[in-house]
Amino acid sequence: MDLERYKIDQLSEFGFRFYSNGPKGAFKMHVRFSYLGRNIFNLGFGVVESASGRLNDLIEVRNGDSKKILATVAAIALEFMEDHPGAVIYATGSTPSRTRLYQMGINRILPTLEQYQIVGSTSEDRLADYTESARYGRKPKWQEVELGKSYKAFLLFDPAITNLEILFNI
Amino acid sequence: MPAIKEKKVKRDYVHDELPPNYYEFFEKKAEEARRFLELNPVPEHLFKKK
Repeated sequence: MDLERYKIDQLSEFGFRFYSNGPKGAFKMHVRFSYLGRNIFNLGFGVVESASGRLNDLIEVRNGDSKKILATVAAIALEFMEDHPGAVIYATGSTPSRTRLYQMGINRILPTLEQYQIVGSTSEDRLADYTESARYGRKPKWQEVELGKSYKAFLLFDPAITNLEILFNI
Repeated sequence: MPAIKEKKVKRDYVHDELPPNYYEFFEKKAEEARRFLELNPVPEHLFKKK
């Protein structure tokens, strides 16, 4: 299994950086974990636009290294969890195609994640139809990730040390 | 031990000039995630060790 990845620089407790290198050049990429509450952190990912210097999550760099980028982001997530025992990581793509890319990456690394568990949501409920979703009372659709199924969002955690009291205010 | 993991080496933080929209960008993502989880709560049983 090819799990080659880029060199990671840590900028702060929650911020990381690496560079994608390929035929289109070098692109600076940032990963940051934002606290959502109850020990859950959002994994945010963005590419720095060369012209403006601003972060953008819609750029497709097409550097031929998507697998290497995903392996790098996965390594960052696991390192963060090692530094923050019991943390639950939430991740989703900024676009359906990017979420599919995440799905492919997760499928590749899933067999190597012995210690961790990944659950996925098949819900279509994104920002655009939150109100409608609440109105019709759709059921949550979280489940253990299975190879071959498509998911819209993911949670990664270590079930051995996840603190249910914090997560559910028991 | 997951194969993806590299041997743990504590790193020093690297200084870098952050993009002008750095915090705003990631906080917007976090807010979307909060709203998604609020409307799609995760069943407790999925967090329990098998």
